[in-house]
Amino acid sequence: MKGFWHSRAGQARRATMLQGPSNRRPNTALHVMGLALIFVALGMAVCALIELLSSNRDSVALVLGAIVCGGFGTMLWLRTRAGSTRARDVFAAVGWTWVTMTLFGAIPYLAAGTFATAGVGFFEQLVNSVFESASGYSTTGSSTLVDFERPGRGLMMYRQLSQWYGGMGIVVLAVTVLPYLGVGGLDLVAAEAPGPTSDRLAPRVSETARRLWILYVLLTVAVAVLLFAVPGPTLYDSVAHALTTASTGGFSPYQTSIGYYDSVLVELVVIAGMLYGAINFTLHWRAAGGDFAAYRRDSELRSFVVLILAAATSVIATLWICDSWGSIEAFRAGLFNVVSLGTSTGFGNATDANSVGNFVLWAPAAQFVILFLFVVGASSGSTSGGIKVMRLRILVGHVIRSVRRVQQPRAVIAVKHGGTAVSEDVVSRLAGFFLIYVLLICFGVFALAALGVDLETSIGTIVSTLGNMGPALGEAGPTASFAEAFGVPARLLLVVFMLIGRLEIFPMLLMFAAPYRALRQKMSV
Amino acid sequence: MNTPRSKRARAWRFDARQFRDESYIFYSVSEALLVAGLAAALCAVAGSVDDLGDSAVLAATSIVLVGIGLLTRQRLAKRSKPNTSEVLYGLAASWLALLTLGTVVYLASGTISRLDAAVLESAAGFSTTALTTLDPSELSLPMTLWRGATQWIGGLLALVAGVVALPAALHHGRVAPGEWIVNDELARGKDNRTRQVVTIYCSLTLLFGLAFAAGQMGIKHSVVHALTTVSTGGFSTAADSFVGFGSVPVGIATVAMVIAGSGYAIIAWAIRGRVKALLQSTELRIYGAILLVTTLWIWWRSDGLAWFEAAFTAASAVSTTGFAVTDWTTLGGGVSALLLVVIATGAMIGAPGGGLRINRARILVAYVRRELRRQLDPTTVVLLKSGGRVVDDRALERMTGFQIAHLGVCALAALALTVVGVDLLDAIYTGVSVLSTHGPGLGAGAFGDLSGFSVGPRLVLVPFMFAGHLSLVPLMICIVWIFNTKKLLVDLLRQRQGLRR
Repeated sequence: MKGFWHSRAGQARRATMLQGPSNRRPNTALHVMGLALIFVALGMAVCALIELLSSNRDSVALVLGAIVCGGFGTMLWLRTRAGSTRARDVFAAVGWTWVTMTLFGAIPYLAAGTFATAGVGFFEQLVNSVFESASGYSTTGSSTLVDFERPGRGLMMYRQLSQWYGGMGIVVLAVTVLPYLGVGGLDLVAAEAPGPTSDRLAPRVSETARRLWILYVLLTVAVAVLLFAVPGPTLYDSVAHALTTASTGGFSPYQTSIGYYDSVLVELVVIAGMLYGAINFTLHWRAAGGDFAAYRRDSELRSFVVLILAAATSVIATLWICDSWGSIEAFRAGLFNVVSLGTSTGFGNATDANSVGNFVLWAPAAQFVILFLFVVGASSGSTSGGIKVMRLRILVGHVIRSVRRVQQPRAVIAVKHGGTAVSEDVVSRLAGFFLIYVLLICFGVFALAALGVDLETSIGTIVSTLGNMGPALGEAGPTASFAEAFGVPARLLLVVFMLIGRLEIFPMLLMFAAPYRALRQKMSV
Repeated sequence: MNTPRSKRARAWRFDARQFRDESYIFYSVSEALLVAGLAAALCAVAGSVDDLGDSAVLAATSIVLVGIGLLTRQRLAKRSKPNTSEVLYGLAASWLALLTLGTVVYLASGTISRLDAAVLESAAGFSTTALTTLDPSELSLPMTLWRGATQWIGGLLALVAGVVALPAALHHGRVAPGEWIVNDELARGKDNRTRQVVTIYCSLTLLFGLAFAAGQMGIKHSVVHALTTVSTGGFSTAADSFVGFGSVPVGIATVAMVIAGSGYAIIAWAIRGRVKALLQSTELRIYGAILLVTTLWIWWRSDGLAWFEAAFTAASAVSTTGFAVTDWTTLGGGVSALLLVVIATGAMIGAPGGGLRINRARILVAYVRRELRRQLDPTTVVLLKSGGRVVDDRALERMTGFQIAHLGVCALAALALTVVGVDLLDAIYTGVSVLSTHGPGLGAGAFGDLSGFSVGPRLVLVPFMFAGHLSLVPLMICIVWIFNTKKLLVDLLRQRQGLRR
């Protein structure tokens, strides 16, 4: 049986089974979307089971969500098949899948009445549910929850699971079972994966995606085991936090996040998990094969480590010298928050709003370092957000080259990364990406400010949201609820920014290209 | 006339010129000091009716500067074809010389007693940034005029650097995309172009002065505001800038700021009466659109602000002048955020104002659109055009590199300010504003009053005023210097290794 599974005939049978009869409508976007919804439904079903076995408050909502997502997903999957994998179709597939997933992922919150408090109408509940769902799947970690005791354990686990799905990417998951997508599969993975390049771990894209998910699962299990081993977290807490540590998401079932435990050991385990999740998974795969020197050879990782160490040192020094906190408190809060924000996770270790872990209270220089980390993020090919260290390195090389050419206008100077020359096309794309990123920040800050948010909160929140961090500066600090800090239109804007940030801009901006072209063709006919 | 004696004299002069040392850097510094000396002399003469002490200081300064300038001209010759490094060093040295001069004048006259405040005032003047620690209404007439003159000289330096020296030096004859319009419409040749630009600058100063005087502003106020408007400087004769003046001077200042923020090529078109060319200018249309949208937004989101006050605030921000008619930092509804973006964008190419510049911003937006299209079809060839010409990839690459560097320097300014204790938001706003040579913002307030800032932030701002004023020239100098030093060290090491062998 095993032989048949791996044989050409077995693969062909599976492909036919998954692809279905050829009379299905060819539409990559709807097909991938359907498959993604089925995975979401499976997650909801598992969480419904947890809910049934624990508090049993929100099991109906989760079952309802599972049925709707599963039903709709199955319908889309069965009625369509993978079609064109041109760039515009790939962007449409990834972009629309994430939008659909975000919207359908909000069903359990809405059905359970998670945000149904006094004075909150249906529309606001809907917005809050969509916000929570988007924050989950995009691994941002911002929350509109005010009462963390209200949702049942299953629903809270679904909230954690949504970040886990989003961390490695639901489309990457879909590609593991879509071997017949062929070359287009790589484009799908590249469109969803964080970073400017996507390395292959195996000749086949589906195998690459499978290996990525294996690593991801192993990391999650390792963090869960370690958390359970240290005093404090229960099995539920360990699994819940492992899901959002591996995904560098930052959701926690507790309002005070990791600060709930007030435990150095828990923080150390989480720090290790966040750092592991923020490193390129290709390096992990090589290390798993015995090539540990791969970590040392990688220039991006070296830069990331230097960045984190420099940021942690400066923040700890600022907290100790300027803010007059004790050296141990400053070290603990500084290190945890720098790693948490430098890896774009967003966990907090503040025990209350006035504790040292609340970085909104820190000195301006420390806050600036944090804002910088919001923008940069971690390594490419990891589960983190931000513009990524690799892009930053190449952009710095680009700037230095531009200035050197002032002196030597005809010189041929290559931008190098890791000892190899980066092609002009890639440099040009990265410059374009960075400029779009800056334009989006400008637009977002202006839009939020126009909606009545103060300027500091606007800047902090937009930068944080676009980098998928979670907590921000000003009114949207680590202990604040976004429902209290922002109005309904601002929350909707932030939903869009979370998705743009998670998909690294292009799929969200270009997902209208394929439908627009189809519409134009129809109109012309 | 052709006596043997005169022939000998001519031959001697010829020989003397031939054997004079050529130095672009020292010659540039001497030219800047000569202009400053003449300005100081005028201020001393005009201000002698009010305060003889300050006039004497300015007169002495003038004598020294003119002496230095003439002596340098006699001893040195200007290199006709300087290399890039020389031009960059020349501009930086001129600016530093002016900064030192301004500081000495403020300290010697007793106008300012603290060194940090004097350095800041001088830097703000010569960088055309509207930040101050002084109450201008308490200054004597000669010092008020000198303060305005520093901005006028700074504006002239920025204009000559941006329109003549830098395009010629940095692009080795190949002009940058944004500067085509400038290159096409202004005179050919460095000397001719310099003469044309200086003539336009002086004529506009005179025109603005007359307009302010016609608006019953008083001679002192008219002269100072003319000097600081044409240079997009923003120093005023009152602590609350234009608040105390009536609607007519406010209206005149609005028009003057709009003109000052326009590129000098556009002004040259206007002088020649080329209305069609003006109407077809994309940059001018965008400039007008930004002004209109900003005005409407400020007017809409502020309670009780008159439309002309909104237009004034918009013109001040777009041209990066820094005058204020109301405390706009207290206005909500995204006004501060919009003005931050507008200030960062800055004025038109070929104007003395700072910022990213409208045409460059336009090309960068087109570049972003091209990258989006290339995401959909990587093989597509999309040509970017500016002024009807295709922008080549190298020029684009250089432009994106410099704009990313500009953002990096903004971040560095904000970081430096936070390190010396300025609040995060104030630091970001002030960093962006200072690099655009605007000045006022959330940290310094709408009137650019830095008296509340301690020594640290004041001194931190000075290098960034310098960087903003000379379009990142200091950054280039640093990097060129680093590479030169590295090359020198490598050569030295190689020589040593060779000797050992």
